Amino acid sequence: MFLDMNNEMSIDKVFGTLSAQRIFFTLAVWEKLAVSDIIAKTKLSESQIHQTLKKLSNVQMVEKVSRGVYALTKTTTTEHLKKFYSQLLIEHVGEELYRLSKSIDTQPIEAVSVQLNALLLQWKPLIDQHYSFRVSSLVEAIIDKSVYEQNVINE
Amino acid sequence: MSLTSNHFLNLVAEARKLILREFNVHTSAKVELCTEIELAEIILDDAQRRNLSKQKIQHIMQLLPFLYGKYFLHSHTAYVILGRGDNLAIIIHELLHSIQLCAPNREDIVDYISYKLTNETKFIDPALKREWEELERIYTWEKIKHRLLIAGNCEDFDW
Repeated sequence: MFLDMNNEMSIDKVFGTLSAQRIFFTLAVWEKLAVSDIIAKTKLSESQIHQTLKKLSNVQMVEKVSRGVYALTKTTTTEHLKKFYSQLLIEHVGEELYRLSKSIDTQPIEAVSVQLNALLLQWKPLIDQHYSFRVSSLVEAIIDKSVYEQNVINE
Repeated sequence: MSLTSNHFLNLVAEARKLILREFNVHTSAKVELCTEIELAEIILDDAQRRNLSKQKIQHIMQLLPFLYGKYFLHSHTAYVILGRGDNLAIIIHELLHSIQLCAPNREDIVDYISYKLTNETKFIDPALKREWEELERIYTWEKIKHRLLIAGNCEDFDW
């Protein structure tokens, strides 16, 4: 489906907001989500999400697939944007994992666990596909640091 | 734990052979196949014995579904999770820990070596790859492997 110039300008306007980008990236990774899950993963308010979903629906980037469940559309524009931003998102999540791995020796281990859990909650399908073994290593390091290394010193 | 199969034993044998060829070191570590629940029990027992706070234990338990395997230094045993970690790449990774003497940042060097030995990109992120490729360019692959086998900082190559 090709969109006319006016619609493309509307897409620019809608997609230029942070909330639209967050919802778009989240749906790109999870395929389809209920509003409650979008709230949990984007940390946006319910009203912000409803408003943004409506705007994204108006420019045919998002559609309701069942009661309260949303997904990205399969239009050419959406597919192009999804493809373009996917690589950036993969690199962004990779950078976050790298930062976490470097912080294990400097940050309290609980803080590292919380940040890793938050990352997994938000991007699990992407992590499963690209970084699952790296995450397993991070979990190993967290276990060693909190159970084995820390307490060997205390014993 | 008695979850073994010929296929799994062959994978372990293959991993040991590869480590012997690459490092000229024979690893005597045991490799056991287990379920996630069994591995959780081992970690939970150790955590409780060491008086870890409930909050800390909870943090660890939340992350266990993302664990594929774990090497335990005190028992010189690597556990890999059935259906998740029973593959050559993870077995090699865990056996690398069994011959590792350097620390800290112990995972980064093992992730990079695991990636190099298996071509499995899920072990690395782009920044880690850039960092260790640069180290390899400066110090060579042989020196990176040697670094793993010597006590001290895994990322200090000027020893």
